[in-house]
Amino acid sequence: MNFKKYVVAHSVNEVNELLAKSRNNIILGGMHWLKQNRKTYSIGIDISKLGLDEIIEFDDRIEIGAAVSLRDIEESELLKKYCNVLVEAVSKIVGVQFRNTATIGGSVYSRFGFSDVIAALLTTNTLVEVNGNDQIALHQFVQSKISKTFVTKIIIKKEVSKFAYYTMRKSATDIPYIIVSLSKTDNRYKVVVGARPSRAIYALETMKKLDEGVTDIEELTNTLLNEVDLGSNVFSSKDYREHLVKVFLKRGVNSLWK
Amino acid sequence: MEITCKINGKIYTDTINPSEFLIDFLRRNGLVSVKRGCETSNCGLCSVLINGKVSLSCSVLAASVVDKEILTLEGLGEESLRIGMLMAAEGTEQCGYCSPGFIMSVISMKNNLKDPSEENIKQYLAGNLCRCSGYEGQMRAIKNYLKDGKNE
Repeated sequence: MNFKKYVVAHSVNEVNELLAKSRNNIILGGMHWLKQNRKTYSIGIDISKLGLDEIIEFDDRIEIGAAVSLRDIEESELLKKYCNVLVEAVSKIVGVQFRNTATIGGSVYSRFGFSDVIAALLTTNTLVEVNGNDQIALHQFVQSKISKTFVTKIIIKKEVSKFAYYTMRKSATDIPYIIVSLSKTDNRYKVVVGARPSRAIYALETMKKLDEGVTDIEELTNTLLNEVDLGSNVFSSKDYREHLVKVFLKRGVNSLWK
Repeated sequence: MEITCKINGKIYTDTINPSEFLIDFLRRNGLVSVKRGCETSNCGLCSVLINGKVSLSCSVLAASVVDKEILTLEGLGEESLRIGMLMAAEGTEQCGYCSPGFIMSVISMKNNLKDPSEENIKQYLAGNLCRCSGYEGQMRAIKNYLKDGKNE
């Protein structure tokens, strides 16, 4: 990866203008993934001076700026209280020195299939703010095509929820090759499967059955496997992913029913 | 482009390529304790402190550390020797390639965690890989180091 020019942006508008000017201009996040490609970019845009490095509490929501590090999320007492699933998910990502520079904006924008951040956030009620004004539901953003948008904030509705979060990795600091994330809010369930290996999605039929009070684990796991496409890659076979999803769903619902 | 930052208490001003990573900038300036390992942000060999936070210098652009304070093993002085001796006493120094990054993480942990448990230590240092030892020796060395600190 190379840049011809490095620009420190001083406003969200300036970032939007630079992105609009050339497809070859790019926002710099934690750099951990960007550095691994071989492209040459015209301008690398530094967003560290935009005040997007704060976690702010409002009456009904928590706003996380795009430049907030995963380590700041891990240590946030506010998020531990309202969104512990995110805290737990980020704490599994590589090591402290990685999390000190990896950002929530970069994690969400990249929409990686193996993303712990996305799989965890999907079990909450989350909006993604793009370009400083538009808001889009996270699940829509995750399924959308990657384009030159500027993820400025992650907005999480404050709710009282129970969470369960499970992953399997080849080693403790590796990326996950399956994620099952669940939540229960006012007797409504969310079930998310990530690292399928493609992008994380809701298991909508399974969620509906849980909402209706179905407690037969075999029925729930069959429903989940029928509706969620799992595949094979270098990390895991489809068969092994299916096996793990069954185990994690069972553990998850039992934990939420307690 | 030109940058100015403070490294181990000394002001550095230099001309860099906008794509240059901090690890290359540091090594170019003689701070060769900073080691290159995985290039995929996994091994922790290149760990340095940036404004007190342990970070991977292989993933931080030199252009982004303007006006920041960088601490490498060279800036630790006697402290690095002390940790190094404790590690050697426990037989953890085999190839020694991971030691500088490991020591920087231990310093960061000492500054940030109060009375860490063995589990806390394991979690904090999960991003520092060693292919020679089985981590048991390092764990004993860290515990001795933290105990020494308490007795001071």
